[in-house]
Amino acid sequence: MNLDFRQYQYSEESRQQALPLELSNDFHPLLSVVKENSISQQPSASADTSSGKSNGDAASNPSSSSSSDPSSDPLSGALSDPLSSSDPLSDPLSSLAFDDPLSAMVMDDPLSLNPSSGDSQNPITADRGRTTSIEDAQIMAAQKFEDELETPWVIKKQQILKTYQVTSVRVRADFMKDEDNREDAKSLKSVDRTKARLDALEDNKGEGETLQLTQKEYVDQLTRYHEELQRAWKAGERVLSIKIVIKCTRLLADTSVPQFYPSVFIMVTEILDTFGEIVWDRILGKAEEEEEGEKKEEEKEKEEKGKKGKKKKKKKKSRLPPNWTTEDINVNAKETCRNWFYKISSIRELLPRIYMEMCLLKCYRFLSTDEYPQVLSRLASMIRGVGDPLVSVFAQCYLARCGGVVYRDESGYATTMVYDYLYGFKEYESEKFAGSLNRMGVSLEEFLHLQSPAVEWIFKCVGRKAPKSVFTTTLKHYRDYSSNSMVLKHIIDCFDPKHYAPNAAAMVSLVKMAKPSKVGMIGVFETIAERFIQSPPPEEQRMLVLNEVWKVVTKCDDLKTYISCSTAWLEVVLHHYSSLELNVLLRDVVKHLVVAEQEGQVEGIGKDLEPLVKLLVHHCYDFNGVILKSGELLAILDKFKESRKAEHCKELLESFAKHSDETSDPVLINTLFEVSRTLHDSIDSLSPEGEQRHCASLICGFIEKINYGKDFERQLNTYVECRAVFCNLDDVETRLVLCVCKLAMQTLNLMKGKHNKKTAAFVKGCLAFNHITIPSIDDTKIRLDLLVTCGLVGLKNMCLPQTDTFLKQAIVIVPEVAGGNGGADMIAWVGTFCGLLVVVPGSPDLGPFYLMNGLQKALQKWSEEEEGGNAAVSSMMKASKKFAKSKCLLLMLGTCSSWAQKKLPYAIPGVDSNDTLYGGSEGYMEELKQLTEGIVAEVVADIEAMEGDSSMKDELVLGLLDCLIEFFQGPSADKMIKSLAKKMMKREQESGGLDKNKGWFLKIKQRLGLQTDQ
Amino acid sequence: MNPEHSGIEINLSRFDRIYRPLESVTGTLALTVKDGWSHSGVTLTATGTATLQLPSSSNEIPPRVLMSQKITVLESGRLEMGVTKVPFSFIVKGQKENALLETYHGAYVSVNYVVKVQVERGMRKRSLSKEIEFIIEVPQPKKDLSTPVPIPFHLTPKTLDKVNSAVGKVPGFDIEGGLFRRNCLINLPITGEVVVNSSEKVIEAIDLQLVRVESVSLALGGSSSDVSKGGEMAKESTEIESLQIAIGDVVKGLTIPIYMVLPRVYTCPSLKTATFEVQFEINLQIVFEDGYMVTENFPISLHRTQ
Repeated sequence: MNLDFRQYQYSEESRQQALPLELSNDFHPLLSVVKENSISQQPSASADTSSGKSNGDAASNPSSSSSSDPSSDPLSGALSDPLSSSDPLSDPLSSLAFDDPLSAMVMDDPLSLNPSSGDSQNPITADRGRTTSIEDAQIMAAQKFEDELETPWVIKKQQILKTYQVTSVRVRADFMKDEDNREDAKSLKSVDRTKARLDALEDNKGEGETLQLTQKEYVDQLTRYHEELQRAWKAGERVLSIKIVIKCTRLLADTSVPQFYPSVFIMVTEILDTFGEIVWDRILGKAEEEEEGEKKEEEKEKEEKGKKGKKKKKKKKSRLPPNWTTEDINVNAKETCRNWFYKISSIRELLPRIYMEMCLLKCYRFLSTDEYPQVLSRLASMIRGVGDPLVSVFAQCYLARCGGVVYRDESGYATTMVYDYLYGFKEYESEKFAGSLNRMGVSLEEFLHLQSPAVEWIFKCVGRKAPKSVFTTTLKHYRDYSSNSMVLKHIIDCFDPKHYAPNAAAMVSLVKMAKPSKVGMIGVFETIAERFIQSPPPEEQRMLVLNEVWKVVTKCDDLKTYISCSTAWLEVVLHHYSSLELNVLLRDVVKHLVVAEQEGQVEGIGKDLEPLVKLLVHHCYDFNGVILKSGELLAILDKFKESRKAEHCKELLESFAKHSDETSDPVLINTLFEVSRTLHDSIDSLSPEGEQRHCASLICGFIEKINYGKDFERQLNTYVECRAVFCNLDDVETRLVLCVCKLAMQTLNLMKGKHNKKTAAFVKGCLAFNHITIPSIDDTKIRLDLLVTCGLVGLKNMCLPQTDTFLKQAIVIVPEVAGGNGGADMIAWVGTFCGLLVVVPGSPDLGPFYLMNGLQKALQKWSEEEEGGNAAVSSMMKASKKFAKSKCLLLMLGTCSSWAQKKLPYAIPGVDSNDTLYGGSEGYMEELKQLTEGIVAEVVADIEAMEGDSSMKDELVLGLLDCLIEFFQGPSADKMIKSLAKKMMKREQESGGLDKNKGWFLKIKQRLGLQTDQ
Repeated sequence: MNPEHSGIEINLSRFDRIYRPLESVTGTLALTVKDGWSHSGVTLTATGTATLQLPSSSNEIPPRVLMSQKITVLESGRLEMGVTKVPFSFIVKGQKENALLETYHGAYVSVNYVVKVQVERGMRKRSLSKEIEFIIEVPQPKKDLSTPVPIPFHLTPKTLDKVNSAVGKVPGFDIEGGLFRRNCLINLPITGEVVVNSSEKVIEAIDLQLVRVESVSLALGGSSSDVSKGGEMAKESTEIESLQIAIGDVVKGLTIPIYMVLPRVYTCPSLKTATFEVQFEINLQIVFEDGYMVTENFPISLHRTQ
């Protein structure tokens, strides 16, 4: 074998193209050299002869005149470069930092947010101080207000059932009896009947026969009634149905166990709802019966007159138009409906009469459309006849609910109810009332608490769209009669805050004056805060309002209540106050927590702190991160259990990544450092991999944002600190190495490519950092990549010994690398490495090619390295590793070819590469030739060693052919080409026809000067 | 198809079966015929009667005929198996000088209108018959009903004349209100209001009682020769309906509505004839705990206009 190298003339232009000089720290060609040998059997890839060669040749290959062809541009090789997906012209370090495979790997984690996503590049310019603009917050708050008002009854129902429970209920004995059909003696004279009724009243009041039921029994019995109602209705027993319903509504008159009343109300109204539904369905059914009575008659008449025996029309159900009105309803249905209302209007007892009409409200639609306002206001005033405040307010609630369904626009009746309700507070002062509370065994506070859900619902009905005038009157009634905090809370909650925000200070004093209920003053302050987010107090009142409120809140004894109220106010402050108030508030919160801790009250407080922390985390970068810097947040976080604390740390870092720019603020950095440390420490070897990656990416996001500007030393020191703290996360270590590389390059850049003594020392420090850091990373593949990168950086910074060390280290670990990906990873890495080797100067002691030699040996060792698994897998692995090794050898030929040139395809400023060092001396060339021939021989041997024929073998042959054609000349090379080509053609013919237009075939013909047609 | 039984069904064209004088009542008979049979004619009679009874005696008083019409719907002949439908119609018209009265179902006075259909099927088969009630409303071109005549009241222990209590002293109270009108329209609810201004005792309930006052001439009870004497009436009040309008100790000073829908058929426009009368009253009963009861009575007159 006697291979002669082909010589290429690299124009200065191409050299520059290969290594743009304007960016001194830009050394992309080295990073983008990795190529798959392009000669393959795929025609599309092989059509372009010059594509995919080792970069140096391709860039200047005169024979391939296709310099306009983008794919021949070595730079564009990067596009297909598996290592880098970034624009090769961009800063390689930044591309490393953001898009390199290492970080990409981290980013691809579906669990992680990309902390360095585009947001950070678009700093929020407007309203810099706040994460969310005030407008957004207000819209959100308004939305929340709306949503709350729209809370469907179903949800409310569940809440009530959960809240109001008792262990046992005393009921009248006949509750458990099924409804019997006893007839009222109608013929009794009026006096007798009155007497009988009086007796009944007496009976009601007296002990009578009572039963003690558990709540479950009670509920079961009601469920039974519900079922019985449906059964009776199905059986057509309308009277029985009504009786059952009436019996149920009677339960609502009984407040002997007031604690359970709200739940009873829910259950009974469910039965009423069912009843309303079935009656509605029945009347609707009649309405859709095509007025059979009359029409059929007419038809029949015609028939009977004998004119034509028309066929009887089928019973057709006419669908009512979707927006039907009373005019679409036939007489039959109307009359049925009217009869229902007649029947109900004659029910003796007030409560059943009202409730029945309420549940049938919907049916008025059959009779007329415009009567709802009258009907609703009549019912509202009828409820005044209910003396018991609890019974009354729940009846109002049911009316509001049913009325809301049939007639949404009008709330006049509801307003009346609100006024009535407030007026009723007068009664609470009477002795008689105190007596009845006594009998029920509840305090006024408890009694009011029982009313709360009903009051809330009524106020919502009114408040939804109430104009200012209604609000004013309501508030006046409140002040005149009620002045109770439970009511005030609902007023604040349900009315548009625009009505009272302008008088915020007055509202606050109103809250202070309110009589106590189960909703304490703090609770009301919390509610008002939630509304102030949407409509803040006027500018001039803000301080006054906050001071007044906080005077009270800070004295709160109950930690939970305090926290929940503070959370609401913190949000108001975040949106409408300055950082000064925020700090004061935060300090107060922490003070409370500390005191509570000393008193041992913080156990399990985490859940209550949650919303507060969420809020703070979300806004932690408002006012330039004042929350973070104050340290209060960390103090609060300390109150959480480890795992929750870590979660919050994550959120903090995520929030940071989203909202913050690069920072040099030492306090901020220090705080975040602590946060990151907490997060890091929460990870252990048992944590799931995804979790680890997620945390790592968050911490990386933080590290990326540390920027001390030109204070490189400080930057490096920070990295050193980071390395010490985040030592368990390889992803973070990796990122640190890259950051330090970047730092070194920045230094070089700053020095305009020429280090002075100090900066040189600094860069050496950087490299030393990396040298120490890299071995601690577990993943050899990543280590390999990092070592090449560091080698590159070393070279650019003219630190030759360090470069050598990095590259040697890389070669040493090559055999340890797993042959993953069918060896493709290794091929890619060798591509990069070889690209770099082109410009790495040889060692004075070990000769110009010792790294290449080393690599060759290492690869050999790598390919022989046994890998685990069963025999089949391991033999497959072995085969693919062998193949990969051969492909790597082909890549190395590219480097050898470059070395053979008089001038290297590219150079690094300030570094003398082999062309300068050896100047093509004979010894050098001879050694190179030996090396090259050795490689070629090894490839040939590999090919021969491959058993049988396979596409892998073909690929290697073609690859070798390509190298021979491109890199070598002379008869010896031609001979090899010919013999290889012959073999190849034979293979092609055997496997079905020889396509002479194939890329490789054309290329061979061109090379051999068309001398043969074989 | 052969039906299982023979029978008659009467369908009136109006679902509510309410008619007014001089209107025509139309409808169809549905004759369900089993096996087919011959008959000696299908007749329909429309009868209106006023039935009276003296509260004190069980003597039967012959009903007064207000309307009596007889129509032959089908001449004698044979009906084939199946359902035969025959339309009919007649005009609502009073008997001679006796003006039509409104349908009213009372305790001692009743006014009923029925349509009765009878089919004679010869000697061997029993005759078929069916009757249904229809309702007559008699609007009166009425005097001045447009201006309501309110009946106010104000109850305090001092104003009491009808304290209905067994024992004890009268508790202090102050209750006022009233009905909005004395002259009520029968198709509109009775309305008014009650305000409890103050009450020493806890109020148990407030009831609204609709009472009919029926009077029948005593003369009717004796021999028919006494009819001309007229004169004295036996008067009896019975309750038609009672509604609770308040239960429990209501909020003082809050206006509680009085609202009562007048039940159909059990009420009619106030009626006064030579031999019987039907009047209505409203009682408002306030029941205190311990059984004290205060009643306020409102005589009302009911009217029906066009």
